[in-house]
Amino acid sequence: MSLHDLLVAPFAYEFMRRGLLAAALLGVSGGLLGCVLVLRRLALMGDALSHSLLPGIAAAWLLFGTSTTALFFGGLVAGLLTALGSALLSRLTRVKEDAAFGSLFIVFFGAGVALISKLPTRISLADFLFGNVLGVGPDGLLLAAVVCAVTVAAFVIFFRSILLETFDPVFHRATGGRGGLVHMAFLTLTVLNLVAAMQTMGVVLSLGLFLLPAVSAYLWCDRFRSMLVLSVVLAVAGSWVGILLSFHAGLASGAAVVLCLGAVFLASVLLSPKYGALAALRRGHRPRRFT
Amino acid sequence: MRRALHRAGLALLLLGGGRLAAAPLRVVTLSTVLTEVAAAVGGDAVAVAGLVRPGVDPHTFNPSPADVRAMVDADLVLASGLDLEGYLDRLVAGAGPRGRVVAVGDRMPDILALPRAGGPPERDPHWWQSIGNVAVAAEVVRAELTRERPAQAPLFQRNADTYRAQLAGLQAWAAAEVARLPAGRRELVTSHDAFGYFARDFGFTVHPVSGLSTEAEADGRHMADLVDLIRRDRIGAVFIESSVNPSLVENLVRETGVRLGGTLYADGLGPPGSDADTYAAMYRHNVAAIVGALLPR
Repeated sequence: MSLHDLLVAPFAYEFMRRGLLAAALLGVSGGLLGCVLVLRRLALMGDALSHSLLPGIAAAWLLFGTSTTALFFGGLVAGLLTALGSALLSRLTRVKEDAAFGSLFIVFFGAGVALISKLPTRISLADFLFGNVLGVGPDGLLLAAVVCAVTVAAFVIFFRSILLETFDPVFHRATGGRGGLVHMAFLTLTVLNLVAAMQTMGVVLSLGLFLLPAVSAYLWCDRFRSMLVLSVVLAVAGSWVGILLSFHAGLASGAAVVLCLGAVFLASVLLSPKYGALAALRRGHRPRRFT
Repeated sequence: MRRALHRAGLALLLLGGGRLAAAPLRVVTLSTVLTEVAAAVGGDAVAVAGLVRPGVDPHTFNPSPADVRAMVDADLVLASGLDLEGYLDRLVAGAGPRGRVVAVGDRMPDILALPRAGGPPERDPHWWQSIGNVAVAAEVVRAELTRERPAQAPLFQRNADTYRAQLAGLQAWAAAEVARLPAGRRELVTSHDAFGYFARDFGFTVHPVSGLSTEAEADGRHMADLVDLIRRDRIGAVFIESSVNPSLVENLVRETGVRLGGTLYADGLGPPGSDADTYAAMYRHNVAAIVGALLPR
């Protein structure tokens, strides 16, 4: 098999080009947002969010049928209520944000399951919202491009606020930053990205893109800026290699990308010269105690 | 007076008892097709409750507690079988239904099996896509109902004969329709692998986007092969299914310019009021869509 067959020929197909482009675009925003999620200990937010969309999808189906646009906005509203609701709860009560998120998402999920059991028909609604990277159409690609552009613009314009709010929210507030607002805006952006990603590419791939590149980059970088760059590069490269792997090995496409990103993560965990497991053993260090 | 009352009470008791004996047999089904078959064969002598409602994807159906209770209390449970209801064995073992649980699909002659790497072949559960199999199902249901209510045997026999006569009419119509298609155009590209029995009966080749279950996921190589196949064999149309996300098939349409032949009912009847709310209507819808879209023009 020539290099051309291996790397270029698969993209003679339109659906492969569109899928790669959508994954790369959402990989850029997922790589960026993932870094903040990892640093703010909100890494499990994506997983929780994917469940919390259910009542929104069910309500949208009830009102508008299987229109993709309606399902998207239904999921978006439910996701925003969960994310912003838990941010609000963590500020108004003694409950920490992760606990508030965990509680709200499971309540939303339960409400969704209950609502669906009452629907006159029980087609698999999630199947209609959650897409496949091989099934990306022009609409999905447009959505990915818009969401990616908004995310990159937000990071460029508000980089200082994001940086401060991520590493030192107390200092940020003390210097007149509007931490709450920045955090809410960040959560809104994340929900928008995740819902768009799940709709265009499915749950597995979305969760992978929004976590694995960032956590891998975290093991190699000491500076926020370089972590962001490496995370984006890994997300885009992982999408490209994974989609090729899906093509040549006949693997489910979303899973193939996640496995590639997972291999990068495992390699980083083992081999990172500063923070990797092997380096720690070589230095004779015992694993750090959890404090 | 007291004696009169006594007598009236006794009469009421007898009447009530008599009505109990004639109470309709409670049949619970897990398949929209079997709901129709049981109601047709049983007539007034049975009360049929279909737990998998029309339009529901049976691959992803999960029984609710109320569904489980209905199954446990039923005199007879009719399941599709052929491993479509993965929860059935656990349910039977756990909840201990009072009546018999019959996996109707397991009684079919000539079950299609697809070889599977590193395991036993996977049986194709979509038996109702063959009209002949539904006639077999009517006979299975007749035998089961007769076993429960031997006194009603003639009624069940009459009803089953009537239903099978309708199926024979449907078969003749479908065969005449498909005969309009040249053999070279009998290629069926669909969302998932649900039309194996239809293909066997009418000489089609099926090219599904994903596997036997709607849950199986497609890969890039397979999609590319389908694109090549559609171009090489100049396939006339591709089809989406009522309970599957159409995005993958829509991408085949965008890529090759092939016509979208319409929506097929793969996994059972459509909701009431749709053009597929009976078995015959569903089958006519599918055959008309397939033949209409694949006819050379």
